[in-house]
Amino acid sequence: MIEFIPVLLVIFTGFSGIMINRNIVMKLISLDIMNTGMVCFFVLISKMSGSFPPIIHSLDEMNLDFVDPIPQAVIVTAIVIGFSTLSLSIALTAMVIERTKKVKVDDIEKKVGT
Amino acid sequence: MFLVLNFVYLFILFLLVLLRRLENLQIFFFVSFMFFLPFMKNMDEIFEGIGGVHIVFDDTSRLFVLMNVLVFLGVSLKMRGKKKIRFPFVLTFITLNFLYASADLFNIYVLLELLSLETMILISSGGKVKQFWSSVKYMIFGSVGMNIYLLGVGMVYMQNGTFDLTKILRVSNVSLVLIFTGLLVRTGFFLYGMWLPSAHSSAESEISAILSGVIVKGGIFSILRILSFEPFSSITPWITKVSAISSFLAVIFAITSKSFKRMLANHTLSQLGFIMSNVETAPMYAFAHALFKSWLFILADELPSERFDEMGKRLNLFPWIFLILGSFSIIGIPGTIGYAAKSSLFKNTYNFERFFLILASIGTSVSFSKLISRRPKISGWGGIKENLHNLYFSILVIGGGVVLFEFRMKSFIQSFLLFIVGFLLHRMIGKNLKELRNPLERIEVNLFVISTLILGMILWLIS
Repeated sequence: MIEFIPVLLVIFTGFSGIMINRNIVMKLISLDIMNTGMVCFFVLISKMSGSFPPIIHSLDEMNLDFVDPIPQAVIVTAIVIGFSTLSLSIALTAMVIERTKKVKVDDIEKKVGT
Repeated sequence: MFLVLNFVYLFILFLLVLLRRLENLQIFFFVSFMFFLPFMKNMDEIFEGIGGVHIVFDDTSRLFVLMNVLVFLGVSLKMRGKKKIRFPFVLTFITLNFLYASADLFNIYVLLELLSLETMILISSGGKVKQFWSSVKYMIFGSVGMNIYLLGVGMVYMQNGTFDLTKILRVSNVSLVLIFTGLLVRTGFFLYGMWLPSAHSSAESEISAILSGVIVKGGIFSILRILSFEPFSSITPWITKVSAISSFLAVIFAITSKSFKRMLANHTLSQLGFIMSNVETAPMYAFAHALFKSWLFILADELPSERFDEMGKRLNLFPWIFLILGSFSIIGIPGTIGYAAKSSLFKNTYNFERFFLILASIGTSVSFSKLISRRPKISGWGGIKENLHNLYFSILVIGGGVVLFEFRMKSFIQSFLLFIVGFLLHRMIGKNLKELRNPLERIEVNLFVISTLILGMILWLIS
């Protein structure tokens, strides 16, 4: 279980980055770090059943310990979703920054007046 | 059968919208409604895929899909001629329909995230800075919530080797807390997802109706679906308690709100608490809430001003009648669909939850007394074409109330009593209340609260 600690640390770094940073762009970058940590977490889960790629060239290889393909197949979707959310939020943030001329969250909130 | 036909039909109509062959969205949703009706009484349908993808279409799904169709039809009657948002609008409808049939952890994740993307486009479609900013905030919270959820799902997969909810046998406490915290943040409960008031109040009225009416129900449905399976249901008492408390706390901010849409958004927070404070009556209450809340949001366009102090003492006759009807429904006066939902909720709730729900009901009538105490002035009717959506929703609200009406002396008296107490309270204290700013709406504070709650819950469950 020791190999999970660095991954959880990355996820926690991302989360605390979103919490602590005052700059909205830094917040989005932290969000991406958190997302990447999550992808690594799923890759680690699939490695638990073995470390060979799940491709068979001949029947002799049937008994090898294969990587579990399902979490990886599933996390590809999460990567795409993470990319699209990030790009959309960066586009909208760019528009907010352009109109308010502010990057700090508190300043934007004050100017926008939620 | 329904599912296969539904996919084919939705795909064809989606192509038509995409190719700009279908100009009127009303026709699209009306055809969907007619298409859906014969399937209301069918048998349950189950599809099983390889590796744990699972699709189930049962009674709860039917109710939610019906709600979806009805609300989208009503809102599309209002938004004639708005061409810009037609595409994400239809896509949201299809995504929600699919979500209401999914029964595995990963399908729910993918569809909720897809829903977030569409919601973001819908919120920011008005082109104002405020809307851009609230949709960015929404996206940050949505992503954080779904990442926390995914962490929990990963742990469940490690223990069971599947994402299929029916095949999961053991769930550890840590993963339970993570999964449900993620869903609560994404759905927008008090203390968890405080992005909700700013997002729902800053969007255009039709979009707010869709947001409060059906999109939050996506999160509600996934929570209900996951809770309905054995290893997950041990967390139910905690969810119902959190919801009951949140229904009361959110109402305090609704009472002090100075703008109509902001008040409604805070009421959405509180009504989500009402919905989830009893798992058995939750689908029914969600159905009722979708109808009256989306109607109230649409009515915001027909008022002279959104702010209460600029609205004037007297409103035009017909918006006034519709507003009163909507308010009675959310308060729970007999004869409306809100009463039917609320009486069955109170019948099945006890002790702790009941106490907070009664306080929250009084709070609801206090805050809606701001509208009820205004008087009408005689004015024109505006023609049937302009009021089509209002007639549609009033038929649904009253008709639903009559069909589901169940006479019980106790709840009959209770509903009137709660309303009168609330009205009198408004007369006494309502005039000079200052607007409370919710400190939780700041991103940093809210994330801190979320992390504290996760840690606290894990420590409490482990000890």
